[in-house]
Amino acid sequence: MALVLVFMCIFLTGCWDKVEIDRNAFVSVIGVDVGKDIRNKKALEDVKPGEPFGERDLKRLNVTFAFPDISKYTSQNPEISSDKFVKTPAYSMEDALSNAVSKSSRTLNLGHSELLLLSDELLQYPEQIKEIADFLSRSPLVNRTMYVVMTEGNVEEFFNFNIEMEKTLGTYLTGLMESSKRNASILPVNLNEFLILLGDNGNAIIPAIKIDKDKNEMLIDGIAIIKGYKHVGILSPQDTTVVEMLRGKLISGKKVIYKDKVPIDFEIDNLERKIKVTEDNGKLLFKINIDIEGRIKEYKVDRELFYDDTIEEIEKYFSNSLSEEGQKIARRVQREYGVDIFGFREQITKFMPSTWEKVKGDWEKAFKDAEIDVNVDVKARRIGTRK
Amino acid sequence: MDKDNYITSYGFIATIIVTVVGIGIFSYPRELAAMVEGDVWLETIIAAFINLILLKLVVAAIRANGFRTITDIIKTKFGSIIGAVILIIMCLPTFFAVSLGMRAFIEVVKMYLLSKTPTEFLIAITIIAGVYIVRGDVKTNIKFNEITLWIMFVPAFIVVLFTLNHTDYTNILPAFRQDIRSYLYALPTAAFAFTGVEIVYIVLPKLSNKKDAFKGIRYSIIFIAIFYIIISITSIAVLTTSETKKLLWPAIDLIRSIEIPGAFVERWDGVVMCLWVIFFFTTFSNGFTYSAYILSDALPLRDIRFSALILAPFIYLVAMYPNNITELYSVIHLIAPFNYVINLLIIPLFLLMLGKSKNNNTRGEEA
Repeated sequence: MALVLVFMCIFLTGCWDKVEIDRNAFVSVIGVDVGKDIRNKKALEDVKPGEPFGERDLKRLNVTFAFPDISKYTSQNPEISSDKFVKTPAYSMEDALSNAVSKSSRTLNLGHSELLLLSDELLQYPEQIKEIADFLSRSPLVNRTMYVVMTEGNVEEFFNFNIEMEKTLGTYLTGLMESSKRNASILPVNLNEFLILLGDNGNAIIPAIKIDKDKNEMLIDGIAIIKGYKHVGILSPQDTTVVEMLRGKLISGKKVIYKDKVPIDFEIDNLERKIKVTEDNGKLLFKINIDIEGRIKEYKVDRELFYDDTIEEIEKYFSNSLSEEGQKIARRVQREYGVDIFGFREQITKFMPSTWEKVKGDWEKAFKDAEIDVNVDVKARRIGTRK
Repeated sequence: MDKDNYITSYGFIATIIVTVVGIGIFSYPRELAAMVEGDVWLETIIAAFINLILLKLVVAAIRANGFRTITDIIKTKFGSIIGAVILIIMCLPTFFAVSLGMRAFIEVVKMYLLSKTPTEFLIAITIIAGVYIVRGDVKTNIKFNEITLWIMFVPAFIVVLFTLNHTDYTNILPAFRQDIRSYLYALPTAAFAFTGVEIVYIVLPKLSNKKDAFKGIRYSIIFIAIFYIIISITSIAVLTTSETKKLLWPAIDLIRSIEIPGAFVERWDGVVMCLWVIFFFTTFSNGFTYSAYILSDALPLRDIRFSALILAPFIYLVAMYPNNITELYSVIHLIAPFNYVINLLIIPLFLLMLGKSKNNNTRGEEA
């Protein structure tokens, strides 16, 4: 009996990790922007590892944590009215987190964040990106499935932007990402994929968003290309569909050609990509073969599609147009940015390891010098419910 | 059923599986991928073979000594004093392995589940829970293993199913491109992942169907190897080789990167972590039983309850010894070879040589 009592005293007295749900703020969006001291590289140059550093007030980053305002949330009115923000300058992500906690009445919980916004200016500082990536990968609590997006302009502008469709930025953007299955002009990248891409060689692609000030709209602005932890360029939303096609990732999307001044809309249902690599005198030749299946959605009421020849002809036009488009964009990415976003490197390392041994010393050069040949084969399987 | 030979074939297989598969599975993909990249599966298969050969030796050694309990065999062969020393040497590596494994487990728990709860407290309550099950003797343990086998592996395989839409199995390529030396260096690491197989010393003599003892061992080792291969290959398929090498516990991050479309529950890692507490606990309880069982006869205490109580504080001390996670893993790697050399090589060879000379009645062989 005495033993039982002793045990009860010891083991039932406290819970260190108790979590009160109303003391928690579940961060939905993390926005990271540059701070005013980011250019001040000298400040850190002469600091020795053993020196006390903590007291220095360096504002290298500006971090915003947004969390839904659940104060007005009731069972009668189950709606989140708006986001609340905690904004803090900091020298690192962890510092930002502790600053934010000291500023707010609640504990910030990153476990359910949906979105990570990185400003394009921040992406000009590779060292900072490396630090942020390390924080995100090291922390056991960060949600690895949140989406990563680059903002063109200050992150803050996006937080303050008044979205018509949704009440909060997080829901709006994650909704956009998830609808990418219908609309291929956005390429969703989650933190897990982002960290894997960056960790490999510092190259990655993430979707970019911008605010059109004239129209007062928030827009998807294609894909930001990151090379060596640094933002080097942007591909337009129209290009995104093609890039996804070249990556073999396109699940669904729409393409159009004009025949006899009539637009013919074609919806892609299925896509299969194969890469063939051949090596000729040290020069690489990448052949991308893409098989597309889909349906014709729109033509003209006084014309008929229900003939083998017509369908075949249209298929041929689509094949040519898509091949050319793919070729053009592949070349552009290759020449302009020298970043392999199509998975050629993986293809060589996996299936041609001996070739990889030869080119791995200067992969970028090998990639830039390589010949890329895109070949699309379109098959229209369905034409709707009209002849 | 015979009162002494109460372990069924299923209980035998379950015991080996749950004892071997423990917290090591979290770091196993990293440790091997760091050395042999995508060829983890190959290395695991070879390691499983090595373990099978060693276990064949153990079974032969016990058979040659008429399936008596290990403590009995050693004491009659070597006399009670030298025998006791040998027995203590036998249980020491397992004892260290479970204690350090406990620390690794606590580190994972502290990282993902209970970050503010003191390490000392977590270790203390796990030991108390362990003492509780060990006091029930081997029989209780076997029953516990039979139940947990399902609780452990059914959810584990379901989780792997959920990752399927994120996998790219070509990530394990290129195959066979590593230096032959890295394959050799990786072999011990892979083989030591089967630490815990020494449990056969105490369960084998109690097995009801001794004829098929090795068959049971074969099944369990194959099961474990397949499980290791599935987890490692899925880690690599989801996270790529280069990321798997960088993460401390790739198997956990594998679960963290799962996203089930349309599911109303986010962040599955919490749920899975709670389930996988059992993975560790069975390893711990069986290893603890093994040590306590041998110690009780070695000293001689004649009761497993005393030896469990004697061992408990030492487990605590050993678990608290490493200063940090890096030191912890280097100590764990230091201990594993001792276990293999002593328990699975030297002892069975000795027993085999000595057993042949005085081969008397083989108890229960025909049962």
